[in-house]
Amino acid sequence: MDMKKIANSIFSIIVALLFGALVILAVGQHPLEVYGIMFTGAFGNMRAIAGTLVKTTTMIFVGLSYGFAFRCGLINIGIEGQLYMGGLFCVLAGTYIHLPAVLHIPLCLLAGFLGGALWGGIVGILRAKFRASEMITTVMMNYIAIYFVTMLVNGPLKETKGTFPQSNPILATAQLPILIPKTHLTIGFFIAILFLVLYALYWKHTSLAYKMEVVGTNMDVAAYAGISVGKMMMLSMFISGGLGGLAGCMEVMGVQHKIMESLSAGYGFDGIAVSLLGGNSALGIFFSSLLFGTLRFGGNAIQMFTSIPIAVIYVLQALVILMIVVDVFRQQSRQRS
Amino acid sequence: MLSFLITTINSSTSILLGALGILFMQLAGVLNIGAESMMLIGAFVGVLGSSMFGNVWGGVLMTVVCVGITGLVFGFCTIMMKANQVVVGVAFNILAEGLTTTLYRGVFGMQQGTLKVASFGRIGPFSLPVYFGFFLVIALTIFFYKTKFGLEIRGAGEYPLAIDSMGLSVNKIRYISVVIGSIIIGLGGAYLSLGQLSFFTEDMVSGRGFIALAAVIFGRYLPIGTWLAVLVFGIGETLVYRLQAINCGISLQLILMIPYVLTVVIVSFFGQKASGPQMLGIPFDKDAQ
Repeated sequence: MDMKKIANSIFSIIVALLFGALVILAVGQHPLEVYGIMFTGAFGNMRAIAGTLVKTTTMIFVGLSYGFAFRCGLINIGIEGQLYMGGLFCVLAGTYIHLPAVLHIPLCLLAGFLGGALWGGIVGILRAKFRASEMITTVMMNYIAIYFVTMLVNGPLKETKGTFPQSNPILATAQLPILIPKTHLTIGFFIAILFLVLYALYWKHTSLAYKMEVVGTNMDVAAYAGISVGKMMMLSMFISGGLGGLAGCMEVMGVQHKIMESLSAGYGFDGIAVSLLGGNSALGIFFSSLLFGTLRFGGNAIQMFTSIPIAVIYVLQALVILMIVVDVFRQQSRQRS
Repeated sequence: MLSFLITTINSSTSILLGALGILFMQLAGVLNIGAESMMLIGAFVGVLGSSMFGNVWGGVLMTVVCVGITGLVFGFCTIMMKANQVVVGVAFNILAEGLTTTLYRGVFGMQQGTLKVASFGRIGPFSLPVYFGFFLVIALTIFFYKTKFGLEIRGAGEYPLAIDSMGLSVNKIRYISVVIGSIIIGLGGAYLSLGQLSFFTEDMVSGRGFIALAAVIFGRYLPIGTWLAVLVFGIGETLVYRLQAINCGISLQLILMIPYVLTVVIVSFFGQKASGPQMLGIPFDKDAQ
């Protein structure tokens, strides 16, 4: 990331916060006070910081998911559904299979990856074989996944006590080991960092990644160069979905230890903002995940201590996305040239 | 059978208006993934206006003004600043969800969904917006295929360079189309909160903007085709109500999935991009072409 990109990102964040302040004013609250509550909520003490890093972990996976498809020219708006399917597969592997933790955890991660990959892969196949716009199909697959999970936790997967529409907790061997006691900060954070590194290595050093980037840049050129465009798209949606599935794993294995209708509070859509703000690079995604992790966890404090709902975070997020794609700086330089 | 048809037409009107609005701006070459946001804003400000003025027409006026402004901003980002239209659309969807939820709680307090406002009454079997939907299908067909301005709009989406060489401004035509299209989409949202119901709930559009988008593709970018496509979706949705009502033993969630599964299937079999305008989604840049 060069200086101009970083300056642009910081500018986007500032503008988003200013617009957010207007919205907060409009509902009759004091913006500085609300932002103050958000900041202390996110960094006030050790437990707050741990909470922020837990959200950051999920943000990293959804950011990687969006970035992976985006670099191959696909818009994955279906991370939310992939997250649910990943969470579902993860719960199944974590509840019904008995293994020691050292094997059980990787197996659950693999199951979660496959769950999300299956959901993304379907979209990839429909895109490649029928040219069905992935922008519409991914959104529809979100609704289908959430209804599917809701159906299961109200029926066959409902907890044995039978009180709430949620599954039984996964076995202790499938839960991620905790780093800081009495928080949800687990080794999941390091797993996320590992995937950031893998992501960076993949795009820098493999020929498959090169082919995908050619497809992402210009499909016609890719086809002319003999790259199988359809195959690249299917594979990229498969992996993108898998990364979304891992975000579901993080929520299940690290935080909730079960699955229910409200497993995700729109985390899938955060992936778009995370990835765009981070310029789709591993380091960029790390820092933007940290920002959106802060917004998410600090947002909980806003919801708790003011009358403003956490949805105000969506406003900030959307404005960050808009400021980046509208890209004021680029336009100015273009006009000058 | 007749009541089935009436329910279908009633429940599909919001999607019909949404789809016709999308069609309007897409024919001019601007891709609209953000229809969901425009419907949600329409539904919210419709209720806001109706409660402020104590009159459903106040809600309609508010929708036209606010969604018109939303369209202007959308046009600014996509036409003027030439930003990626898909990503702008997605951002608008996220923005609208945040804005409407925050403002709704700020303005009306926490009692969600209980605040009833003045809404449309019925004239014969349907309420007024339903007739407006019928009218719009015919009016747009005539407009796009029989009038000069309609032709110019289609030209801006199909072959903007020709429009430009005629001395017309492609961007101006696209701006006008985006604003008019957005207003129609917004009215589709207002129909949800003021026609079918008389209150607003958070996330009440729940994918209808995308279903409308699918209907435009399925309808081959023709007003009448779009209408027929919307009716197919409407039948799906009515089936949902009926199956829910008769308690057939199929799980509720499985029934609720029907419209979404239907959309995936339809987009897969009829979604070939070739049927849309040539320059759909591509900003017009005179120097680059």
